[in-house]
Amino acid sequence: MEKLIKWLHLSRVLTYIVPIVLLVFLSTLALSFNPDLPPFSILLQSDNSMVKNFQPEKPIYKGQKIQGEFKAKFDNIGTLGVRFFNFKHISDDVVIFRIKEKGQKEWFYQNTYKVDQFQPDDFFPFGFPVIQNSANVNYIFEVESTRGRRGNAIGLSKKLPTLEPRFSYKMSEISTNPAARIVEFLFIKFINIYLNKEKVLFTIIYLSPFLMFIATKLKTFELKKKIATWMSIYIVLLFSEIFLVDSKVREVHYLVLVSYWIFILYHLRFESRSSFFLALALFPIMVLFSLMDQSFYSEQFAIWIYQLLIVGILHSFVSLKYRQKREVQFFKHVRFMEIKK
Amino acid sequence: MKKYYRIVILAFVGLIILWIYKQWFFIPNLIGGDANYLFKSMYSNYPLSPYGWTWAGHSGLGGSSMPFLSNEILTKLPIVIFGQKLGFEYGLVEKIGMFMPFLLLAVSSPWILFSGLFPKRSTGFLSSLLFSTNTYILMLVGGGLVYLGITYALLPILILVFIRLLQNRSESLKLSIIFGFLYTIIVLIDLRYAYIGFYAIFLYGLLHVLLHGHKDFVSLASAKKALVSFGIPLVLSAHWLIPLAIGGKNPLSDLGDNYTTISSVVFFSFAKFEDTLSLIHPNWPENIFGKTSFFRPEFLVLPLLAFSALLIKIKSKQERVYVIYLSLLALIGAFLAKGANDPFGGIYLWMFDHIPGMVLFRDPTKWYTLTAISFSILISLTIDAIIRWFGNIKNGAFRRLGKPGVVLALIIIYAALILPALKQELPGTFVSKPVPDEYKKLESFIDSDPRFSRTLWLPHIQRFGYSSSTHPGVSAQDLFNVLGDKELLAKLSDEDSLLSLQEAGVRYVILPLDSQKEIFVSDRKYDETIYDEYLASVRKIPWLREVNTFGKIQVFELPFTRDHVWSSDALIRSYKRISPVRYTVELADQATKSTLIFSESYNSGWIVIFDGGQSNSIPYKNRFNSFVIPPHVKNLTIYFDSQKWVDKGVILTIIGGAIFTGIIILMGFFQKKSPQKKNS
Repeated sequence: MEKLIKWLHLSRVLTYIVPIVLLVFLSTLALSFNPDLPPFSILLQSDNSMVKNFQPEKPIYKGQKIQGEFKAKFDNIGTLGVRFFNFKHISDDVVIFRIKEKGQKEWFYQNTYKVDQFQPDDFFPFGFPVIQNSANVNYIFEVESTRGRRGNAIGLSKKLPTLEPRFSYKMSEISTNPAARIVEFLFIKFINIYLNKEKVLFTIIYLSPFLMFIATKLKTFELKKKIATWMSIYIVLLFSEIFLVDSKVREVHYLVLVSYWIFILYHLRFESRSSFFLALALFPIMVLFSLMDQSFYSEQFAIWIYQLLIVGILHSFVSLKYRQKREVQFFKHVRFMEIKK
Repeated sequence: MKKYYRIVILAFVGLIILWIYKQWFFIPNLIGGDANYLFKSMYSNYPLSPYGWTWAGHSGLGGSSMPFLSNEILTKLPIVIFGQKLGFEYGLVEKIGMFMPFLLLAVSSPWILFSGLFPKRSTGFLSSLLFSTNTYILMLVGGGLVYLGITYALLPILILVFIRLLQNRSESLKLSIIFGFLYTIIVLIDLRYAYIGFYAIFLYGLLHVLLHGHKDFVSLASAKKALVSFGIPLVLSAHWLIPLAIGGKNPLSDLGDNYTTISSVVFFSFAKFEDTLSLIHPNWPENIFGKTSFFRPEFLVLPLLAFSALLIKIKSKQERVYVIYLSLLALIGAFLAKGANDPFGGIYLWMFDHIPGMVLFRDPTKWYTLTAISFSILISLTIDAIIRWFGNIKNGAFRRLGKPGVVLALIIIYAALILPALKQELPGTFVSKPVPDEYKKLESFIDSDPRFSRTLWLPHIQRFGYSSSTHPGVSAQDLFNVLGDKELLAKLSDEDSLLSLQEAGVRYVILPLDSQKEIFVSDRKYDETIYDEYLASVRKIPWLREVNTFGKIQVFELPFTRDHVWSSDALIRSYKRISPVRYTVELADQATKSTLIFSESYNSGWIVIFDGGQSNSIPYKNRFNSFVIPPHVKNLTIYFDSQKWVDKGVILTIIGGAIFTGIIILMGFFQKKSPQKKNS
């Protein structure tokens, strides 16, 4: 066993293998849990200004219409995602979706849909036959209610973007000039995904343990700068997670960011009280959001306070058992309530 | 703190507690939530000996009491001692037997725990204030669940005794016995709090093992401790454990799906995570079931102060362990009390389905108890630390005023949080309610009739409504299985209902006076028109005759009501109720077999015993029991067969109790002798 460990060190297997494994693992995690990530061959377009004349979260009743216009960025448009809000109840309304090229008299496609399948604040994909030469063409669409009435209607979500046209990239076209087309597609795909700030943040959160691992290899930082840098990054990530990322897999974020915090505690040899300081510092912010009647954010802060307290308690228990020496005080100047028995 | 400061502050804290509970010190009856009133004539229906069947079950149609057998003895004890033996009014019985023991324990128990864990700190009295007046316990006892309050109040002492038991080797037998009896009391009042208590001590045991290794646990001495500590509650619970083990099924299944399904847990998960972390009850302060209040951010001061204890630099390793333990207790309590709500609500649902005993917690708010224990100790500790910090300040005036100032500031902030309690705005048992004369007259009227008959209450039994084993009260909503007033009246007016009520032995139909304004309500407000609609509709029912009126209480009578035991093909000479589980019947001699109907809810446990055999119960109209009686049987006994296991359990409990009492006496004897030995 010892020989194996020695060999691993000498051959620098750990130096190279660990970051690669970490990167692959975290990238897989980021791709698996990234919200609303479309299939590989699908490109998305998001534009916040496409439905201008309709108030979000206003119910549409029988005969009323949501109308909008957008300019397609790519060829092969086949789906238009519209983000609805169902007022947290299931309605029995049926809507008619219509789409046509701007300037045309006849609708290109129309169909009816029961609204009980619309999820609150999620895109509902209205599919239609693929239009091959759609790039740079303006389209008009409308959604008309046929049965909407008071207490039994849907409306547009206030969450942005409201519309999301989807385009399919034809793999058959790759055969004409494979290398150039693949590079071009991958570039477009990358830009397509990471133009969305939420997805960028999402990926950063997932890749943060990898970035931290790389940072540990940089020995140029002195301790104070290290603490300042790492703590700043952590706090930015924490607040981004609360305010900017809207996801249904928050539990995975908790896991990643708590692991990150544990890593900071371990690597910088912080004392257990660091977690308590941070948790208690979040309390006033939680109070603030409660006072502003922002229950979602106040609950998110409560969750983070809870997690930090759990980490801190387990850390203090471990410190108590193993009597860790060289612990770094979180705030050196704070000697809070020291009691001599 | 200086002595006079301490006395003034102690008096101030005492006054706050007394002021909040002041209604409990006056004679008029306190009822509310789950607490109902008992007239003196009803005392005899509450025997001390446990029975596997209760006349009050299934809303007056009789039902198995196996799910509640564990709390049969201790919860009836005050009624037996102060009611049956001493003849006190119920208002006095509940005060002496329940309210005062709760109050004494809720004030002393956390103080004892605080002083036991942190003997050199002086703010234990604050733990009494926080523990006895937090929103959870005020809503619990305000809702009439004062017995549960007693178990809640016993838990801090139980935790302390357990900690001492692990630490102290010399007095382990004495402590084991104390622990055993304490735990028995909790088990015999409410199993859920015994379960919560077990979680609390298990967590400390786990920390102890992780810190000190398992050597303490794997020894003959620890086996003896465990045997005595858990043997006492086990043996003294034989009367309910034996029938439960032999029955082999979840007793809660007798109560229906409402008690055991995931959907009921989701429904009962009223508290959000912010609420549980801030120790604020979701129904605070109105205490209306299902009506949750908005979160009050000012309550966040409680967790902030409590968890600030984690920042205190404590030199003593043991005290640091206590702080870690109490903090974990608070976090576990807060997590479980939110039930199926986010975050990680699925964990609670999984626990409910998979962890034995968790099925008892369809209402997760019971887990607030752990947070309440923890916060009451940790906040007091934080305040003590701040006082000591003030003690180190060089400025004399600041130092002198700072110490009492901190305590007063906490008390004022806390008083602002529980302001509705201080303003005497809490409902339930915090409001004095004398018995209306109308209900006293109704009690005399019904009690004067010695024959068995049930009374049907529209829409359900009123708090002061008379109900006894001779005249069980039946809730119309439960009997017809409907909730809406119109549906209920439609069902009652139905022609089939007459036969159904006659066979159920219902003689009187009662439209109550809603003295508490909680029955005839529309949008949670009293609505007189609902009462009027009831009265008009019931008067239209042709087979109901108006026989008496007591103020707004209207009494109607049904014709030709069946008796408790009846038969359409045999002549019943007489029958006698010996106990809730045994009836004797005398029949006329008959040449053919006959069928006997026993109008208690159907349960396969009921049998008929006669010379030469027995007969099992067959469901009659899916509601009652019926028995086929062979020809020429004249004397028979209707018996609830599961009772035999309860009786055997009772004998075991008595023998076990005697053995343990003997051990305690012997122990006292030897302890007295040992110093003499030393001297000689």
